[in-house]
Amino acid sequence: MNIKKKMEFIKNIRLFFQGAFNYKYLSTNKIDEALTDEIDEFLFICFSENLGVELPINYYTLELLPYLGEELSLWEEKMIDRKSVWEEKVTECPL
Amino acid sequence: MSKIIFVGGKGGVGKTTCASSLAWKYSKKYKVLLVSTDPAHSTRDLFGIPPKKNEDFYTYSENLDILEIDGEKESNIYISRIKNQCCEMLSPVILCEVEKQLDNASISPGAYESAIFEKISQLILKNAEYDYIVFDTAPTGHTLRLITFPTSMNTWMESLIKKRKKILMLKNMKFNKKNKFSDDGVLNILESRHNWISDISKVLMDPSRVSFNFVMNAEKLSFLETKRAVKTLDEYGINIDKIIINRVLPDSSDPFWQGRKDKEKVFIDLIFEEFREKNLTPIPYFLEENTNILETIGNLINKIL
Repeated sequence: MNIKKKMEFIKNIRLFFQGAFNYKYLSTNKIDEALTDEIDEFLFICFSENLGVELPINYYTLELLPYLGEELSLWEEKMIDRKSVWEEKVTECPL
Repeated sequence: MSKIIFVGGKGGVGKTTCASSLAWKYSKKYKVLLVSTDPAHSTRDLFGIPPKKNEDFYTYSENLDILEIDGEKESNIYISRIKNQCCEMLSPVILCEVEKQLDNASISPGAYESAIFEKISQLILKNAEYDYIVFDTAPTGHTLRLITFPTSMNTWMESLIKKRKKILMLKNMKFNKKNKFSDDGVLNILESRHNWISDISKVLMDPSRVSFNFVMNAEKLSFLETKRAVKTLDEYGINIDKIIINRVLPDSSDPFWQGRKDKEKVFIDLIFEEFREKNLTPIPYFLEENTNILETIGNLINKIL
């Protein structure tokens, strides 16, 4: 085996493991991530008052509470725990 | 549909008097509701109606009703409606958290203003009982916010609807389902709010249903503020029906009052120069302060009726 073939073999092995185990490159996980981000953003606009940012629509988005109550309590916990927010975002950066 | 008349202007220029005069005049022929949106109400005082506890609605005469919108009361009604809905839909553990959130929201200063706006829009959109609704608004800033509010709300609602649709799409992809967007309670509420805002915008922009009137005095501060307000309304394409120059002084033999009169003349000339394209109505300064004067002022403001 020459060097070229060896390199390609190693590259393929790497790609195999990446595809099989790497969480970040799974398409379902990509959807998952996008969904979490979107929900976070949506809840942020609706209930930004909780984080100290007042928006003119805050009064009217209260109407959504019966539907979003459950998601909201999870979101609040997440927002209060800053460490988890940072961890999540740092791993997203391409190294 | 009832005709809507807004009366606005700087604090203390005589908005309440002018609004009441108009309402009083219209009530001779039509059924009129006079609404005060200023958090510090004085409409009822002007008509000499004694206050009643927990009451915001008064009947002055057969054709004239008075409503003093109470932001706190309106927001409480709204919040308790949501609380009831939450009780039905949420688990008790979460309910506790959500109720805390609702209680915090109900005492924020923005809530009262929003509640007042909500009540105004209900009156504008749903009321069929009255021929005329006269709004005695709070000082200028408040009136301008009222007009610019739907525009900013519209942008927010549109972006929220877009975001919600994206969430629903992603959820369908994730769980491999084909749920219809129209089944989503959140999206339905957002869309009905969006429709509600565009309905109000439509009415506010419709000169055949709504007329905006500004009250001012012939003096520097009032002049400058009215100038700014007129500019903003022009930018939003809202037609100003009348500018009322209130409390124009009579000629006097007293040197002090004649001096004031001369100063005032300078501003009256300025006003007629600045707002020459608008419909200007000067109202003299009256000696008496009673309900009889309402009729006189009403006649001066609106000669046609």
